[in-house]
Amino acid sequence: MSDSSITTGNLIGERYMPDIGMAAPGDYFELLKPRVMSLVVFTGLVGLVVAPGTINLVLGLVALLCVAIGAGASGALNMWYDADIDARMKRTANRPVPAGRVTPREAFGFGITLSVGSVLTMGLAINWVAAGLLAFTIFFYAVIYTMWLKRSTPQNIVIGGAAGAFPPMIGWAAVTGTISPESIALFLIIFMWTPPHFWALALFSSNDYEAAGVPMLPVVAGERSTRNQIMLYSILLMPITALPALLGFAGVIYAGVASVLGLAFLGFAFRVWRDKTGEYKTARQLFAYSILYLFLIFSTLLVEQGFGLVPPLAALIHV
Amino acid sequence: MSDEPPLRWTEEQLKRRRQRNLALAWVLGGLMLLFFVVTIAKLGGNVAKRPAYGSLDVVEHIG
Repeated sequence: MSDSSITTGNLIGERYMPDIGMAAPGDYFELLKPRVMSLVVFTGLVGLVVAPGTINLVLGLVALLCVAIGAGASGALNMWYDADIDARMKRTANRPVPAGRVTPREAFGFGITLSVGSVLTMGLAINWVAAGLLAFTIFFYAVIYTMWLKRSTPQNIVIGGAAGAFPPMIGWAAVTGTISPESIALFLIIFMWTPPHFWALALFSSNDYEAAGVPMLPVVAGERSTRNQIMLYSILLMPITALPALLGFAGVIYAGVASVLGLAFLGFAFRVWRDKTGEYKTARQLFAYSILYLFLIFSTLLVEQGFGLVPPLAALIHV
Repeated sequence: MSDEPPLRWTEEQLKRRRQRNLALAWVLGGLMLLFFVVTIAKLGGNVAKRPAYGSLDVVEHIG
């Protein structure tokens, strides 16, 4: 049936006029959480570059595309399931599903299609270890974090943070076909970085989370406890960031940069811990710095490897 | 027969459907290109190495 016959109307009953929706392509793109996706792709790229061995340039790009689409798919599934929460939070109320531009069914179908497509393409084009990790990442974010942990425990982002930490392992596996201590070290950096990053956000967004009934740490345990936990995880993060140098796949430049960035991170975390003003300026600063921190840590790994500047720390020590 | 006025899709709805269709066409075209390029990349130099059917090498192997 052509558009013209429909728009002229005639006597078409409601049952013959299915809702064709109001979603523009941009709304579907928004379901992919492009800002989160960009960080995921970047850390995946670092995993791909620092892994021993080589990968065809085209296949490397395809691997990253699969990581990006897989991450986007989990974002779409998250927005499908969390539409009720998103509608109650200022920060998320205008997302495509709560705003009514995309129906929940459409978001679900979109997420599932992209999940299956990205995992199969990764498996067929790259290897099945990377595909398995990608599938597990999507499952972890959509099911373990979104459907289970987020609504049930204040430790939601500690465990759920694993989902955001897998991409460098996927990049590594795309090149080597394996999981190794080195790729686990990259995983641990993001895993340990996630709690202070998200709890800083939760401190100045706790009203939103409370209104939505999400048991974030500041809502359930209070601000003092959250500030203590931020400090604790920031301290734990420091030795973890030394692992790439200790395991020999990062050099002295990385060790130096990571130390300086880490000290600054501790400084920002300390100011949050000490803050008794009842305002959230220090939390906002830590949140902003934490994004820059992760970007710079992984950038240093990338640049060091990309330009072949990796005299292993261990070799220097032996000398 | 109903007395209610005929229902119509609005111009905005139709415009957005056209946009979605166009985006989907681009995605499908992109996927075709992607799988073609991946196939070539995975075959790599083997495409050039493959002996032509009936070439001397093949005859020698058979013989």
